[in-house]
Amino acid sequence: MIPGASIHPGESVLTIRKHWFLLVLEVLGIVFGALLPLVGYALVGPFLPPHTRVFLPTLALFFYTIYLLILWLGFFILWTDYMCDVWIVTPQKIVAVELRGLFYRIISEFSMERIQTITVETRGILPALIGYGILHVETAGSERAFIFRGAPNPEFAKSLILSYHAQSIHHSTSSGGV
Amino acid sequence: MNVAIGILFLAFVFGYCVMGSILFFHWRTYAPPDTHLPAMRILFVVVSVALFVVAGILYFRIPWIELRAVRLAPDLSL
Repeated sequence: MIPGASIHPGESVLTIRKHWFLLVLEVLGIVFGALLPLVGYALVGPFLPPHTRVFLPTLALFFYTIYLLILWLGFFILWTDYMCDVWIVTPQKIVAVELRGLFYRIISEFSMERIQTITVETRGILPALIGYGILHVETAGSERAFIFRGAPNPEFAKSLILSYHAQSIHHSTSSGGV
Repeated sequence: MNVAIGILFLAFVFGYCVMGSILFFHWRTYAPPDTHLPAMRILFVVVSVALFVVAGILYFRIPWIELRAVRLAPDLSL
C-alpha cells in the first residue's frame, strides 16, 4: 500500500520507477566527489612545507571523514527520492507519486477513462541504447500533463496503459456509461 | 582552535542526527513497501556511526600543540 494513495496490496500491475541507470549516474557523481579530495591531496601533498606534515594528514583526514558523512547523507537523500518517485498502474487508474523534496510530495490519481494522449519521448544516445525515456500522459479536464522522466521501457508502459484505457472505455460503454 | 573545531564538530553531529531523524521519519511515513528499508536503515546507521567514530578518533589524534606552534611561529626557513 502506498501511503497517502488509495491503492491496495495486489491491485498494482506495473510499478514505474526511474531507470536504475539514472540512479547509478547520480551515485557515480557522489563517488567522484568522494575521490576528488584524495586526488587533490595526492597532487598537492608533495609540495606542502615539511613542518606541516606533522599534523596535516590527520587534520585533512578528519575533515575528509566529515565530508564523507555529508556525501553519505546525500546518497540516502538521492535513494529516498529514487524510491519514492513512483507511478503505479492498475487496470482502473494510475497513481503518480512525486517527491520534490523531503517535505514536498505530490500524489496524483487519474482514472484510465480520462486519459487522452500518451507520448513517449526518447532523446539522446544513452536513453536509446539503455532503454529509458520520458512518459507524458495527458488527461481530460486536467490543466497539466503528467510527466515521468527516466521511465524504463516506456513503450511497454505506454502500450499497457493504452490497453487498460481501451478496456475501461469498453467497460463503461457496455455498462451504460458515457 | 581545537575547542572551536570541537564545538563545530558537535554541531555537525547534532545536525546529522536531525537529518537522519528526518530521513527515518520520511521512510516510516511515505516509503512504498518494496524499498528494502530494513537493510538500508541498518546500512545508513552502521556506516554513519563508523564514520563518526573514525572522525572522533582522528579529532583526538590531531596534534593540536604542533599545529598551534606552527601558527604562532611559522617556519621561516623558506
